[in-house]
Amino acid sequence: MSNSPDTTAPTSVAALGDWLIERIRFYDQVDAAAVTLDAPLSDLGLDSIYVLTLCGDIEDTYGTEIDPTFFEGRDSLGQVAVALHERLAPS
Amino acid sequence: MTSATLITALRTTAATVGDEKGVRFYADPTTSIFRGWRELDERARRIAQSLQAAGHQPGERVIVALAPGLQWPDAAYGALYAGLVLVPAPVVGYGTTGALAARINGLAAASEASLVLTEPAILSALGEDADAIELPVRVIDDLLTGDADAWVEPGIDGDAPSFLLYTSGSTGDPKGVIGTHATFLATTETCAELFSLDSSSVLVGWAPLHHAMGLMIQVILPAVLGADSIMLATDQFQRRPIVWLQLISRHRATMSVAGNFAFGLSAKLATDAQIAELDLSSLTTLLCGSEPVRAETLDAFLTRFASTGITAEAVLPAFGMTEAMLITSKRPGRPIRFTSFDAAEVAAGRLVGAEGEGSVAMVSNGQPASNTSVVIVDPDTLEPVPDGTVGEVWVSSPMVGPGYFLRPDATAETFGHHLPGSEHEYLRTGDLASVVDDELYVTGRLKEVIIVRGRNLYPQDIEAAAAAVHPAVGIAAAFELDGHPSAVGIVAEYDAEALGDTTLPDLAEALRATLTQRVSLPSLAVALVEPGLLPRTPTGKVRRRPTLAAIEAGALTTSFSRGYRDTVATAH
Repeated sequence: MSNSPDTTAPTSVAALGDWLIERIRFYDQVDAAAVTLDAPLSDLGLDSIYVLTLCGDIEDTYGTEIDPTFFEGRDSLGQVAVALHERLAPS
Repeated sequence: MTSATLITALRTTAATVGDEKGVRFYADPTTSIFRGWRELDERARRIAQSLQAAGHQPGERVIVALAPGLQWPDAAYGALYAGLVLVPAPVVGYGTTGALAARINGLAAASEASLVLTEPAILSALGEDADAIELPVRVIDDLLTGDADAWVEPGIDGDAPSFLLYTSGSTGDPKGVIGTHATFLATTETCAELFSLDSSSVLVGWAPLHHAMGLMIQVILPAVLGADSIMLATDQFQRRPIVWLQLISRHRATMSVAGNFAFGLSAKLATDAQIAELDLSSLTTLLCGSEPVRAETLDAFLTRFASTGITAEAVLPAFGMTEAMLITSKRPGRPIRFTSFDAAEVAAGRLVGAEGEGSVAMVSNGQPASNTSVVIVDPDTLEPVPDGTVGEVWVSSPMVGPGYFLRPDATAETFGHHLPGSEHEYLRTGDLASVVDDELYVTGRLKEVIIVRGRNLYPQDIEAAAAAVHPAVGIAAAFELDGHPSAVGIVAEYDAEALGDTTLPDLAEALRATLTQRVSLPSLAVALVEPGLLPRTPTGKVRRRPTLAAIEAGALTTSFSRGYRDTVATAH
């Protein structure tokens, strides 16, 4: 399937994780070193404003509508990456 | 007393401007809907007539629970046209709908309201929690069936209350600031004078409409002036801050409002391609009122957006509060002024010019308008202080309202104070400032409100939430931090026996995780100390400033600490 266009090949969990880490580090609310796939989501400076900024970034980059409720019950960026991968997978 | 009201003002606008101007709401970056002022006047009469027919009397309070959108000005003016007093409820930012229902009930009890105005989307979001609302609930669109021609003017004057604005309230201590028709009209007149506004002005905003700033800039001011208002939902700004600047560019806006964090967010997130398409040269008044502008943030913003034509002259640091609306502001076209003061002298209550190491840069908030008297007063002796000395800001102007609704105690504490040799009644702002070379510099707060990105948080609310996290948590002190990795800090005493299997790091993490989510903090530093170590008043209340000072000095022995900078002493 390596010849499939990007639009049908779901971005891998690992790539989504890398992208999430890059964005959160870019927001620069906490030390870059603290932003890992395993760190508690609540440790990343994602308050009510930045969680919406992240929603907007996900929407603009991956073309799926996301609300802050998407992050509820997810403990880490790793879990967010998995959930996002499922959301983006073609049904 | 004056016969002019917000009703007569919109009626005049409708007659003179018609639907040429109005309010345009963007639900997303590209889709907008428009309501002309004549159309708003007509819808307001229909809504008001429905309310009158249902028996609602002038002076009754109505809770407005609406998402950002054109239903907001509909509801506001519909209720005002019936002589009702609006009590805006924040509807976003509540984790659960149960909390929203509880908030509405709290506002209803505090304001003794008789009605809730809302919309289907909020009712369906509330679901079963809607049943917990203890008042009659009406959907705003259902009131549009009224007969505009049968509407009867409510027979009120300028002294009649128009809004009760509950400051992001400390739990159990709700204070609703009374805005009258006259104080709101005086605010529009003052803004028009200071910022040269008229019906050709175009105002863009995304501030929440339940706050004085958003309500004034996005609804009242343009309606009274017959100007154009461009509204963006707050969450749309937060998702894509660039949309705010794109709307200024697209609509050739002349005025907008932003805080320091908006400058930082916009400069950080905008791409080169987005900036290349912006023309912000029309903007003459970018009001910054909710938090102090920082020189480095503003420099970064102006540098990043230099190609758009925006200049420092257009940025207007201002000082205001719901109780007094606008107090001071820089004037458009004048240079923005940052002044460096000796930090040790500032801490001692004096502003003394200094450069280099040990100095701190502060932004001037300009001067009061011609109708406003600002006096800096020693909060202990209640005597005015000389220029250069820090004291409490007292203000007297036609924008100051009569007080807090049904709260004579709190009203007497804050409103109606006198100074020797002056006829005026002054409001005590609780903010500390000094005047240097005719410029007002705000240095801090007498009260211990925590301001995070323009949101007012009350330390007692954070402390109460902390006590609910674990039975081992005793008395606690919460405060704003500066120069620490975290924006807000809390120090709590803990009861070792009540800890059970919970370790101190676990307890600190539980506090941090629960409170950052509950209060929506970017970060929280937590220190745990043994019982009896926190400074207390003679009546046993925690003393926050001495606690913070002890933390800063490393003088408080903490059993566990995280999120503070390294000077904090740890026993183990």
